[in-house]
Amino acid sequence: MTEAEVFEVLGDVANEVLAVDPATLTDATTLEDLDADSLQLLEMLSIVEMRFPELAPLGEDGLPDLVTFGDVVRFILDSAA
Amino acid sequence: MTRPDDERVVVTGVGVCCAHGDEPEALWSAALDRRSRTTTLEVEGFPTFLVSPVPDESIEPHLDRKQRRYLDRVSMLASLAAGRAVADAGGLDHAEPPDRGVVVGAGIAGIQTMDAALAKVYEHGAVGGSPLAVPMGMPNAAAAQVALQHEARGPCLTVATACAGGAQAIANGASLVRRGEAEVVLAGGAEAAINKFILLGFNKMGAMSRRLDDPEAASRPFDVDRDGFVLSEGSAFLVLERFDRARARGATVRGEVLGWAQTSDAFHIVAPDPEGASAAECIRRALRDAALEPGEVASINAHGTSTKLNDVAEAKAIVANFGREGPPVTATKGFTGHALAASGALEAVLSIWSANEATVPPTANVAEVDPEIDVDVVIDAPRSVGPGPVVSSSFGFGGQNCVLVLGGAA
Repeated sequence: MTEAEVFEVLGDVANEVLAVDPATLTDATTLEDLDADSLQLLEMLSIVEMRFPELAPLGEDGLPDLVTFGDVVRFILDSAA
Repeated sequence: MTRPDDERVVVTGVGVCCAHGDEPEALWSAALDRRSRTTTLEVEGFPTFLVSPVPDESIEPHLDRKQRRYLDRVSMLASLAAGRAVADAGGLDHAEPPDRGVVVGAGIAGIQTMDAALAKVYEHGAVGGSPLAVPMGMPNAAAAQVALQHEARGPCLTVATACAGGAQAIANGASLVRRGEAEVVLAGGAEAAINKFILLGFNKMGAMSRRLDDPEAASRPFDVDRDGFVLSEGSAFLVLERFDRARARGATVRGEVLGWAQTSDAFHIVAPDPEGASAAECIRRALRDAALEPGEVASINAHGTSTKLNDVAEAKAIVANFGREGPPVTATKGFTGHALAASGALEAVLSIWSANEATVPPTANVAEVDPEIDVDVVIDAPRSVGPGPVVSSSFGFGGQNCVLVLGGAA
């Protein structure tokens, strides 16, 4: 899975969960910019897991400090590695 | 003897969200007309059920996107009714956030969230788990959401006493106000349990009406041919505060919670004590709390579920307090169906309107009162009564009993 692929999937999920236009998302967009609370981040990760069960369980040992959209993309990539 | 003004608990806001509309006046008008909204629900592979749902158009268009996504249906109904009660009270700004309380009656609570979450896990295994299942489905979610919406940082309680929940929420909310633990309390009940799993459970208990050929006539409390209740849903909330403070801020007083009591049958997990002894004791204690003699009561809004056992036991509890020549009795579940933990709150609203209008709404669908029921059941048409308070009873599975004594605005 490439970073671009994960970015695209997460953009779709953010659209579903937060009603944001994926075209407006950049690596540096913060979760705070998106008005996403901690529960919504977990919700997004659980939807990613449903789509990519091989990544599950995401963050079972606790989540690192994820501030930007790019942080979340790299966290998912690292989990897949 | 009336309590001193700083011990009187008055109602300064009323809000509803139910099958009969989003205004108390609409509910009251449906009561006078005995207008049932009961219909059938078909679920593949299940028996046909009788239900009285809140129309979806009364819910989703009134919520924002986040509420539609993150509130269980029961929290949606609670949010709408509580919001309307707060608006009716002119807001809660007169009380500091730590002086604002919330008490909500819950019966089945967040079953729709839990059912959907379980189905996903059964289908997909662990990967189907949802981080939203607990925060949306937990029994106190509705109360917590109402507290969030109105910045209520005082006591926030959920009273999980089944069908007595809405009444017990009002009783305990009124207690908080009388004791000074909160200056203003949003108290009510909410239920959204029209779910195939719950319906099947009640059906297997033999508690639900099977009058499928005539849904609107299915709920018939005290009628000789009653055969069970109809499951409905909804929510109602009252804003409660002390009379002296309400008067000082120039609030419009809609009614008064004159007294209340709570008892438990300790008899059987679901069957009522056939003699209604603890229910009778509850009525007696509520009258004592309100400092009223039985003869001063204008009418009774009975729990009246339309089940064989409840209605007979309840009539005995009424006779034990008021004799056979007691005040007129109505059971508004005949037109509303049984909204479980919301029912006591909806009936409190109807009782306040009844006290203000000095009118008892008729019990719907009663063709012939069961000869075992020796009370004066109001049927056919509304009945005018003298001014006076209304006794509103709620009894729940678990042997939960709660009686409220409600007065009008006077």
